[in-house]
Amino acid sequence: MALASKAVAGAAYRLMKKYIGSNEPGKWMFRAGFAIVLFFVLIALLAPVIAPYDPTVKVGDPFEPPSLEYLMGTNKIGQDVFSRIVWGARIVLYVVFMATIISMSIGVPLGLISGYYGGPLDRVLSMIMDSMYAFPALILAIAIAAVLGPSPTNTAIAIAFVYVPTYYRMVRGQTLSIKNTLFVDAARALGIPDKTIMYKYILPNLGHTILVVFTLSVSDAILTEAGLSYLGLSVTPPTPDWGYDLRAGQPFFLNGYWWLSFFPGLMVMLLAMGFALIGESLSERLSLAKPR
Amino acid sequence: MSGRGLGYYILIRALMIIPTVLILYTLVFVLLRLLPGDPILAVVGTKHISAEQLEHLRKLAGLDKPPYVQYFEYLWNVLHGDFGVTLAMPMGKPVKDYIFLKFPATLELTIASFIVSVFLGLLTGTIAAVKRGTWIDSAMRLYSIIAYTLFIPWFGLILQYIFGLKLKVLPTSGRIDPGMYIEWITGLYVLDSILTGNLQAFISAISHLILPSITLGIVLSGAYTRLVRNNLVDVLSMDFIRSYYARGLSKYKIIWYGLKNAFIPIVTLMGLQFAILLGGAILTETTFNWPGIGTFIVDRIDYRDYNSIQGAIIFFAFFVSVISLIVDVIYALLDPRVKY
Repeated sequence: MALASKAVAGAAYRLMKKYIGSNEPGKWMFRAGFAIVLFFVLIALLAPVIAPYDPTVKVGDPFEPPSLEYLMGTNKIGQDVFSRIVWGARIVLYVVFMATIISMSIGVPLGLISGYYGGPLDRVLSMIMDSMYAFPALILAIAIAAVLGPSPTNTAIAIAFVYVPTYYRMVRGQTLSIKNTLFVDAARALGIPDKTIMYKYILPNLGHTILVVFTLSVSDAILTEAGLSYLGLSVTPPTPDWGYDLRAGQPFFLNGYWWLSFFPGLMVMLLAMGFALIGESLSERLSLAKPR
Repeated sequence: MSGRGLGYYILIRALMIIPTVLILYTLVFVLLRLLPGDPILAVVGTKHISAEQLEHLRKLAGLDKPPYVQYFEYLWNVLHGDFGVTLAMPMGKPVKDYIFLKFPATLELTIASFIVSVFLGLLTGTIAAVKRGTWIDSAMRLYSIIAYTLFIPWFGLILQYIFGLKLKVLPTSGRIDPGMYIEWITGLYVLDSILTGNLQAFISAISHLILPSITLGIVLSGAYTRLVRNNLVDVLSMDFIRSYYARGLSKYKIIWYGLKNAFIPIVTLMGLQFAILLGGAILTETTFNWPGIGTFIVDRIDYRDYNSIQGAIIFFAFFVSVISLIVDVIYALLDPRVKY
């Protein structure tokens, strides 16, 4: 797994260096996406500095509209919406990155082994993964999260399950085509063990693929996380979380208290869009088919 | 089809649905049991109940037997249309009754959203392909990215705010005006009201359907935009299209012929999208108070009614498999190269 993350990190670094200064079409997408993601990561890291209030306690009257004192107003309990959004960024990023790391560390090795060895194991695995892939991600995640009970870590596990097939399918497909290239044949002729071929020869060439799948599945996972917590399956109050806050403010939205739900939902969309922009521009550049 | 015909293909494909269903069933079954956490204790929550009551609940959920017995027993029951009984609020009611009652609502919503998403996707994708390289193309690309990163409940609320509250033209929740009666034939209100010639109910049902289906439809249209555009761009640069131009066919006719040729990958996406549509439907239903399986699952989550959740999800697994069968058959009908 350390090798896989090294491959991805290397690919990410090289692409970033090329992109930031380049003049290629699609660079604006990459830059915009990168800026958005960076913005949210900074907010999450600096939450204690940025947030003006404690997100979990009542700091003013309920339903205060946005003002200089409460940038995004207060919610029905009188908590500061802005502070909750800042701290909520931590939860979303934590859940989504945990989930992605888990699904990567299961999906990538399985895809490698499956694609490299082929045979009955490959057929069985492919069939299972295809069935999972065909099933609605959110519904599968709901089933898992409902059993595990609400907590950010459990949500991460539920989401991780859902994206294993995405990694598996991509990595398997690429492995199938790379394993028949000349340099892999040469390695095999030299008697290099299969494990080394898979991890030292094939895996580093998958960096770009994994990176694209990573950005696009993170974008999707953000929406899934928000969906789960909107349905009450992620956090328990008073933990700040965007999806949960949107649901909590929903009954008041049509009474004119729009800021309770509007800002959390906007953040979900912006963050998902940040990753989608990066993923789109990368996949276009590497002309890969877009996973879900 | 190598002389065997479509009937043979459909038969083989229908048989192949069995492993898919079994895998999904096994997956859900194993996941729900392997995961830590006792579902029965979760139902009970912080309430104090006696050991006998606990045992009774376990029996109701079918969890009192060894896992392999549970596996086959539940599969057998599901194949006979029995999805177990509810564990709470009310206790002991067949889950299939709820599914039977609520599935038509979900189906109506997904079909309507599907139509909206395909229509919008074809429209935006075609425009982007015809105007490729211009700012319109870029705008359509931006549309596709924004569309599929929209968070459904958020987008739904904003549409409710605009069309329900400000413009007051569309209802924001439910399937039909309260107090209105529709005779239950298929459970699809729009269809039922047409069948019974009930114009008032038809207008009410349609107007309730518009906002939810547009919300879900727009969100899912983004994926089509790119695919339609890219395929159409490829097709429009082919020789036969140039010869149409040479023959002086109208531009719209040529685009139509191009679309027909670009359609096969789009059908594949439709199959995958339908599954995603069902996931999105859960969020849409919750946002719009739409009484479908999605709201049913969410209600049951609140009661931690594990049996109902399992039943509804297994039902979805069957449904998704049937949809993928239908898509494959359409695929075979459209593309004469598909062989089995």
